[in-house]
Amino acid sequence: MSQPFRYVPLVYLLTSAALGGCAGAKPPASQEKKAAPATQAKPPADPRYLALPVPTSAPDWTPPTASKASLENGLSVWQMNYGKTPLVSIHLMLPTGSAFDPPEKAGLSLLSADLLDEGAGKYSALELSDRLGELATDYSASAGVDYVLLSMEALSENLGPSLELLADIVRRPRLSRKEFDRRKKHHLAVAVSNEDDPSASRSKALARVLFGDGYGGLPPSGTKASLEAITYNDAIKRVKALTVPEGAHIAIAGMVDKDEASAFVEKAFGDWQGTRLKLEAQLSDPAQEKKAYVVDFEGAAQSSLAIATRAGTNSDPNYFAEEVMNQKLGESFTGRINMNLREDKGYTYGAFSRFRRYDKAGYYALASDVKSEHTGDSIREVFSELTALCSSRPLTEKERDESVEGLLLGYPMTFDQVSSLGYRLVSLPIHERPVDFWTNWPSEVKKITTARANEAAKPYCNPEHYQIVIAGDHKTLVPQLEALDLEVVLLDRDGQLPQEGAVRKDH
Amino acid sequence: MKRRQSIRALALGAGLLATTVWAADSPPTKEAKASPASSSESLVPSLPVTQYTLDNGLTVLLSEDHALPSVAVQVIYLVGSGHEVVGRTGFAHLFEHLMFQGSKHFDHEYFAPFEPIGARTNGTTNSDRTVYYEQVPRQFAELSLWMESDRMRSLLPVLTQEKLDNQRDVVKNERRQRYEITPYGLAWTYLDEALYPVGHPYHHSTIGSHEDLSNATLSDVREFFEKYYVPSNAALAVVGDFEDANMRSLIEKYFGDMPSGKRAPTPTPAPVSLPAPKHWIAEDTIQLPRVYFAWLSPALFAPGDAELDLLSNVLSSGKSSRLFQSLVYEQKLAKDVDAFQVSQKLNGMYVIQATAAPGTELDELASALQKELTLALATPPSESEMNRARNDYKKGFFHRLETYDSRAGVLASYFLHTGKGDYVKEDYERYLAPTGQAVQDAGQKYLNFQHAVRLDFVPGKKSTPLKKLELNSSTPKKEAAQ
Repeated sequence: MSQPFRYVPLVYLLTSAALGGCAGAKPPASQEKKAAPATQAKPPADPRYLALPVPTSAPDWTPPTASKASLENGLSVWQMNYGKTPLVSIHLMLPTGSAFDPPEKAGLSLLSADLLDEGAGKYSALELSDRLGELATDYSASAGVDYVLLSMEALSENLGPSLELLADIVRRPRLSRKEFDRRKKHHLAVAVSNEDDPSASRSKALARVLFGDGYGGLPPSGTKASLEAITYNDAIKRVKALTVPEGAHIAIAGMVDKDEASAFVEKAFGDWQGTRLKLEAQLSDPAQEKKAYVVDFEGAAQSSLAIATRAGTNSDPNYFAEEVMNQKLGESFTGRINMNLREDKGYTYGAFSRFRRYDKAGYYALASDVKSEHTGDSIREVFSELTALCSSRPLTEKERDESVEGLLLGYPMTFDQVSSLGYRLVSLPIHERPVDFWTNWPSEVKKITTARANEAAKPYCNPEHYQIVIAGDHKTLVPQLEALDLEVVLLDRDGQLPQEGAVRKDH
Repeated sequence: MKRRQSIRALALGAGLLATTVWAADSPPTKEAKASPASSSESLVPSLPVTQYTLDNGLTVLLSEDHALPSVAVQVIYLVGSGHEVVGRTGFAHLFEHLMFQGSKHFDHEYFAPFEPIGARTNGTTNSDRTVYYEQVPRQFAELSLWMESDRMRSLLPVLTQEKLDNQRDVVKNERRQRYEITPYGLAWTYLDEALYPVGHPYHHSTIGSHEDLSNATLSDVREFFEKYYVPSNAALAVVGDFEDANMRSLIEKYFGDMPSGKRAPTPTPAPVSLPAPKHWIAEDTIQLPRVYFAWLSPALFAPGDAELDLLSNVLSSGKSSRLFQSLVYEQKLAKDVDAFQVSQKLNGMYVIQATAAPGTELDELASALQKELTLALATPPSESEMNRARNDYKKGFFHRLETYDSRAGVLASYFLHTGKGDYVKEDYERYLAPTGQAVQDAGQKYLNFQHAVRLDFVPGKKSTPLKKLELNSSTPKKEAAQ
């Protein structure tokens, strides 16, 4: 089914002038010696260090395969039976996420999901927590734009009892009003904390600026006002809509036997019933004009800066090309953005870029925490890197080769932890990808030529298409942003736009 | 098992790259898996290692495993921020950054040859040591030895003022990002300062001060390198898919001829104690105040160390844990509470922190926390509580043995603290052995409020000077603000 792929030894690139390596751009020690005023002869060059070592032969390695089956009730069962550490990662993906929260009740999905383990089946909240502790099974609930994830990490030997508990949690939650009140207060406290955190504020503001109150724009964890508005009945209703097998996926990855795991799933979830509620979330039109949005953190020594634009969805055909293109722009340490802002200018501890992809939309963001007084300089540098990518300095053959080789050669290592294995597996249903996606991933990456990667860069080269979001000291920022001819819009700590922002209902 | 410690240690990496943890060598048998409800005795973490020393004093730790075609290399230097001299706080970590700026035969970004082969590369510094590591595809194992040996032997010929100035800026930005703009970010700096006396190696934080970072010179860098970055003061751990004889000869080829240098002495401060409680108050741009209590605790691997780790689970792991249940679940005074130990070579620090729920006064929370801890320590943990705690650590061991680079880190850490890499069995067993009584005894012995630092974070301005209240046995007395 899958072809094992062979690594292309990269050392020939490494030791060539292409890298500016020891044998390339710099003269070898023997030449230096000749050039130096000959008073005393230098010791001869160390033969061990004349060139980087040639790699030994590349191993054959085949990525682990994923499998998919379906129960009669609609629950899909994904497995990746792999690894030598006796641990297993379990994710139950429920296809209703924060996109379906009413704007005035942002945070509803997460709060509802969070109630599930506050007492379930025969266990009270405390007893359930103790049972998880006895098994050493970690449990957590999280919400994305399109889904809610109930996640466990367990010793392999405890897969069965862990799945039984997961079935209690998702099928038999007690949902008491007392626990709802308690967890709502907790979520409110988290919302208060998040207001004080520049990076959390920046994330909330970024989503709002790119997507408004529509699809993708709401903070999955909500805000003080939106959480206040959520009632017990809202949560009960949402839990009912959330916890159905239709459209749900369970992903089990790690050192477990496939048939054994299937049997556990069938036993725990086979007679689970329910159909999915169809909800629709509307995607808003993108903002037209480039502006700088500032969340004020008075006196902050750094600006938490994001420069972002809308991008494609989960199923975007440019996925592989964009990933390859982004490696040398901002994904890797030696990417252009980090090398410029950190290693050349010293403005930051790190600068990186990434794509985020959802079912109906996506975005591309370049982000960095930069010294406050260099925020304007940093924006200018990022824009000049973006512009150069499509004009004076397109991605070179060497950059493309290094990116592709790095992705391929590093691929086996990305399967060495049960947690990453689990996320890799559940990302298949999350991103609506086929079961052999990770098997075919290397050959798809290899197909991306330099021309193709440069083509993929085109929608991202024009600074005018970007929005700028900064959590930082407003007073220091305004003159720097005005010097860049940017209109400055002040946002609150929830990232709310001042006028046509979310319509907040008071109850 | 020292989750907190590793989080803290990893905080000061050169490269901002994701790091990972480790895995077991003996997969469980089908029989073992077949008893789903049993959770304790069937599997035991193991990490076989061969240890030897080169003629020049470099310790080598080898652990072969062919499960994945990859090799992890880690070099540990027995120098950390605890070795810094007065006026040069933060230097060991700044130096770590310079180790990524090129060496004689490869005067470029250290990451440059590693990223195109998909390697994971980084370095970290803490009070006790500095480590550098790569995990590479196995065919590139020699590249890693080439690069590590070149910077160990010849960093200085290509060192420039420009590199120092650039990385000084980068490190200052790291300080701003991780400590200054992050809410409660300076707590560790204050706790170190309050708990350890002036002159103690742990009195200052690894990140150091802006002023000291500004004062670091090229001659400081040279001196530091020549004194500490020598084979006698280092160990090399290699884990993964290699062949023993071949790896030994490669190590000899690249490291064998370096001059030995000297093993740097471990700092030997006078025994440390906190004769009277302290209460410090810091302002920060936060809405929810937070209180920390911190105590001196045993050194890593010393008696009492594992007992206090187990106690942490009993106090704050899971909803029925003693402090969480009382302060968060029932009384709802706290948004969160966490008890944990930061174990280090000379001394440990035990910390309990709680963030106030909206509307709760910090003093009310602090008093409740004191009362509940006293109550919690009045009875030994039940067998059920002990089982949960032990199982959690057991799983933690499998996590730490999961990846090759994490295993290399574990070997290097065992070497640093015990002199030998082969220590996982002893380490694991010390978490299985203690009784509930022993855990209670350790808690009562070390977590005494008469010898605690209390640190409050309250809403205000970051620029407000720290208030330091030194307390004698009963009456608080105010000291001049710093």
